[in-house]
Amino acid sequence: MEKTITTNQLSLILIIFTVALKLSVLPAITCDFAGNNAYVVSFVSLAIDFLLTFVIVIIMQKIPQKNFFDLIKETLSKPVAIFLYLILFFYFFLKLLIALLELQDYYIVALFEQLNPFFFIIALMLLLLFLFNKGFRTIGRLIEVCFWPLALGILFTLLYPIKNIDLVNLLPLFEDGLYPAYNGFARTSFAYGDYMVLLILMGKVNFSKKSTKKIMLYFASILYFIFSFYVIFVGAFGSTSVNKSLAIGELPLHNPNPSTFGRLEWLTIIMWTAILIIQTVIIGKCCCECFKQIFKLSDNKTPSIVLVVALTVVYASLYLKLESIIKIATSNVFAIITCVLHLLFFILLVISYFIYMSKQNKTKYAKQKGGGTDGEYNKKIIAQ
Amino acid sequence: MQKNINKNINYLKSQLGNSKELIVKEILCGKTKCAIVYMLGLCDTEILSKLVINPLMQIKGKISNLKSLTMNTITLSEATEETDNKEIISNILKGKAILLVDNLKECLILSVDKFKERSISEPPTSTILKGPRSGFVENLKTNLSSLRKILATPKLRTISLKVGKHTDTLISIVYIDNIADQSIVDNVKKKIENINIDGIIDSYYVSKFLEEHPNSMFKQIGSSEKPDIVASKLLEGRIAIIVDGSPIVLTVPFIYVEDLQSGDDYYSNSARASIVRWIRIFSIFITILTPAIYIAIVLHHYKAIPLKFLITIVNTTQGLPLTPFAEILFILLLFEILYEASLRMPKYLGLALSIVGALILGDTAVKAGLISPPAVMIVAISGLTIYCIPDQAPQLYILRMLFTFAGAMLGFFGITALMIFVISYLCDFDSYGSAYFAPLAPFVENDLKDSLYKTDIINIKTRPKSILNNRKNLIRQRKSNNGKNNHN
Amino acid sequence: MGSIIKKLSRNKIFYCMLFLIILMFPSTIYMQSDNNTRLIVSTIGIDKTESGEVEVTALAIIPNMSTDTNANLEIFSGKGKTISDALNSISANTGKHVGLAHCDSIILSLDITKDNIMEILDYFIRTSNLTTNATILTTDKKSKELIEATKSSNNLLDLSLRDIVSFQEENSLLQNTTIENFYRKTFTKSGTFFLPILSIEEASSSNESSSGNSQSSSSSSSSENQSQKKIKNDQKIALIQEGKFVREISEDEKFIYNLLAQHSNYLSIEIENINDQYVTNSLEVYQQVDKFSLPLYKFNSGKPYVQYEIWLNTMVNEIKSSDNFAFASIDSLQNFLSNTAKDEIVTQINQKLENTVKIMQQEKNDILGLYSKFNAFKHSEWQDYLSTLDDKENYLENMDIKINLHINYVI
Repeated sequence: MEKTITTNQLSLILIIFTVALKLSVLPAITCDFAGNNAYVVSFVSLAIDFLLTFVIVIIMQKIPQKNFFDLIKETLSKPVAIFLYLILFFYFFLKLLIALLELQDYYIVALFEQLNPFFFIIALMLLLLFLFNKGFRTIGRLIEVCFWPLALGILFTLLYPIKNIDLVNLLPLFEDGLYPAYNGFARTSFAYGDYMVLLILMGKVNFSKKSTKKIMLYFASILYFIFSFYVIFVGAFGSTSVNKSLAIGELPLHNPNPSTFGRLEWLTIIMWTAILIIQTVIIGKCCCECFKQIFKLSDNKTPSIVLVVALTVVYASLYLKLESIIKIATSNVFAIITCVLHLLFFILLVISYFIYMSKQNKTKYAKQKGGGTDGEYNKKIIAQ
Repeated sequence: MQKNINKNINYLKSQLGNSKELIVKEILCGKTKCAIVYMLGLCDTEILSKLVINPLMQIKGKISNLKSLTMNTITLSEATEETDNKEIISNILKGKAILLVDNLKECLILSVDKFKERSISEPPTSTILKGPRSGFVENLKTNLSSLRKILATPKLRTISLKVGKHTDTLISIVYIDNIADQSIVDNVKKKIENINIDGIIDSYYVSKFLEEHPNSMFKQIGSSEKPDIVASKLLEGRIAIIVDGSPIVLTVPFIYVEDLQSGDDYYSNSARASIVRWIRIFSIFITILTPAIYIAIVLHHYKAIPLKFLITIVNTTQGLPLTPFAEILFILLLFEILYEASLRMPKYLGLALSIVGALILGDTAVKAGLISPPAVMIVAISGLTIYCIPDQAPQLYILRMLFTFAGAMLGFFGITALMIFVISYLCDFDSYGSAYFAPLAPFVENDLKDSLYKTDIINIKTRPKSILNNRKNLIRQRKSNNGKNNHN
Repeated sequence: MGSIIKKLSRNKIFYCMLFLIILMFPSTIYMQSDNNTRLIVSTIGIDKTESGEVEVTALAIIPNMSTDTNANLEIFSGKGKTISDALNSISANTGKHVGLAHCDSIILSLDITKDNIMEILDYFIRTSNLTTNATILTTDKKSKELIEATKSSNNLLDLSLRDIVSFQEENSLLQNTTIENFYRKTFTKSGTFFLPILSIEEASSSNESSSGNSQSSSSSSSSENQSQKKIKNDQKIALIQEGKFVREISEDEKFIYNLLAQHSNYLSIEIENINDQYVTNSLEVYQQVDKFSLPLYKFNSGKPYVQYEIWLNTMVNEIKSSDNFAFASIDSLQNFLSNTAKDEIVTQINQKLENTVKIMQQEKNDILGLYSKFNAFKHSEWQDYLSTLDDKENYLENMDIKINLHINYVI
């Protein structure tokens, strides 16, 4: 049986998953669509995510022992559950691919003059194979150990650019109307919808007292950080923000005296590489879980091997081709699909929850009305 | 054993290979023939003569049973009856004397063993500035008595087991009854009982059988040479395993933060102890990462270093015959050789050889253009910081090597990936139900008081929840009740 | 086979690591350090030759066992149609790739800035090797000569071009003359940017070569010639608009922009012919201690104006008076910035401001970025104002700038 994760681990998994894909190439893409209103787009997207996550966390606490697959299976039907998990598998697979390609296209290219891609792919895939084989509890513990040093390291290097913010770059709001912001919101929706990871973690969490408050507080703080990042990014770079493909690497360049301290952005890039690897693992684990549920497997070995093999083949063929994947992910059609998917899963979860709860209440009521157990019921009949 | 004393004597002699060290002293106790059998050099013959042989020779009548002897004649404090041949032989080999009485099947085992043992002294690997300095020795009884001296509680329990076909080593499992978790005690007992080996020489042998991941290089069983440390671990809910013949006592469960703690921390200012703990944590990273980061920067990421430092490095590495990776490996090897030689060299040669070692590495090799000063400095710093946590030294050696390889092959990415791998590998470890990285992962807020930082003892009111102990008895400290004792 | 697989599966991690090490070890053990394959360049200079080619001069660090840092420096030049051609030429001549990771200064000659600088810098903004924190400088001579002068300066690494420019950045109106900032400012509506202009001075004696520089005799003659050149900073500033050199800014403009810039730390105010209770006919120099500048963007009858509220704390640096004044009391010391002096300062500032605004309007140089600021903070009114103009590019025509100075004296 899968070992459970604590509330603290859940919060940190959610934080790392949320930050996935948002601080590397997405700021530039958002600025491309929404101009200087990119931070408004991020605010709206994050606010929607927050509300939906809140609802899902409450549902998770109400039915802590149930996972999403069993819930759908019981309330709708098994084929529907399998179909939904199939969609989820491909959804997470695409995110996994984008995360890995980002790792390679930006971070590796930024860090290395030249690196043998063969070595890089082998080492990375072996690491992923090892980590996909572990449970969410191990991943949660890994994040608990690594989180604070990484977070503080990144925060520290991002402090410098704050004084370079020019309010002129942030204003005026909606200068060209609402369409650019709406366009940015829709086209970047593939990077949001972070509550999807909670669907996979349902039934695996050991909730404690005040769990909701803790989880939402952590989540709110990371959303605030992401929003602040966008404000700083747009405020600091203004019209050149579209060219900053590696946002998290560009901002720390504004340190006062680079030749004395060395290149501080390297510290951020290295820490971000670590975070990116961890979030790749989380996304990959979600894929594995979907695979397990679809094929009713109990161990992690088979799904992790299958996933790594598939990933190696696709990844090697897409080497240094992040742009093409991003084009697909930000296309109109894909934007619509993603938005619909995000809403659909949420609505399905809420509906299944209510159906499940009403079934539970009916069973409870039937038992109460019948005078408890079958034996007692029979006694009453005889007495009458 | 048989009733005929001669047969018994012959049996014992044949079992022990007619050894010349086996002494058989036949005496006449009144009308009964008796014999005292013991191994030369293992017994205290003075006490044997004074308390056993002399009183026996005063007997006038016939000996009908051994109990009368123990109650009236033999003034020795410890004398037990035994009939099992195997036990009798084992006891002779352990230094006890056997009293055989004609016409009696049982014999008496007399505790007159006296081995020459080392006196209690401060262990060399756990020296402290303030606090108790006594350490364990190789004798299990002495070690147990050291523990009992500190933990004078009726709840202190010991389970004795014997392991080892040819060594018959005595092992004691020690725990405090309502504090330790009984399932762990049972688990440990079962594992020790299942040991089927020809001999146990040191507690390290036993630790390998107790590990839940025996193929892993990481430490999974705690150890200590000091009774005060073991006693404090027992009070937290751990179980101690004392092995006769070894001064190192094992403790389970083990979590990583234990090695960050030192006796000094508990007997001095806690603010300083907190700072020193963080220095130990940083020293771990300095040990394993410094050579790796250096080699990664030189081979792959020269962009990362400031210009002035880069100029120093390029100037000093100009014209070296070895490639940077080969150079680092060479220096690491030289340091290992120096380390091994310094451990084993005779003391009177120590000074001369250490000067030679320092000169070879520090001066001549650099001047000859074989190696560069930055590389020597990096490896030297890394070598020094290993001993901030001596218990982790073997693991840190290997990790340092691995990280150096990773840094050379894949630069910062390799270092990051290996770090994630090692941490996740250790996060999966559970030592007897306790997470390896507790209280950090899973996060146990209350236990942080004595892990990453140290608070004063007055603030530590409960036992740690990071290890599996009796959860119904976690309170360690209550408010004082007008000077009355509060026993749990 | 089965037993081998069984053995491997028992200790998977160990065998995987062994596999990785065996796979990568041979290539890693023979890998040379990056320094051996890259030329470490600290400064790049770009000139245009008479034939229209680009000439790139690089000041490179060459490994040398000597402890004298100057012995490490060498100058390499290359020509080509484009920057990358010229850099390739340097690589071909030196046998090493040009590594720009430690290049913190890019020098452009003023001639070259009269063309579009963005075309020149296009290579540098695209390459991932160069940090976008690299400073851009201009020189009124050839950039090659400036680099030669840089090389011959003593203790280069302690007194570098970067230091000279940082000093100006901290203490004057220049701010972050980096490539990053240049592109950011150029792509705004105003498109203006300042660059410092450095010059070269011939040293008075040819024997005054860098002291302690007893290097190889083969380069002694060239080093003697080089050692005669020194970097000179007359604090001249070039105005670049939309990537092209427009003009040098005047002293009045320098003063005003320095006063209006929030970040500048050094402002010196000189007033003459002051007559008050303390001095007669004196020349007084006041130094800024600290300053707070708050621009307020307003409209007056549909016409935009900026009101700068400036709080300025000063202290007296120097007084040249015909009287030998003495500080008779604490009172006189504390109130040394007399009302006369204050009035004179305000008058002087207003005069300079008037000149500056005139030039700004005549030359249509929106140096203060007023278009963007009004568009951001007073969007609707600004759009209304623009709609009243025949030519929207003439928005500075009716713009007014006022300064409300609150000046104090600090002991």
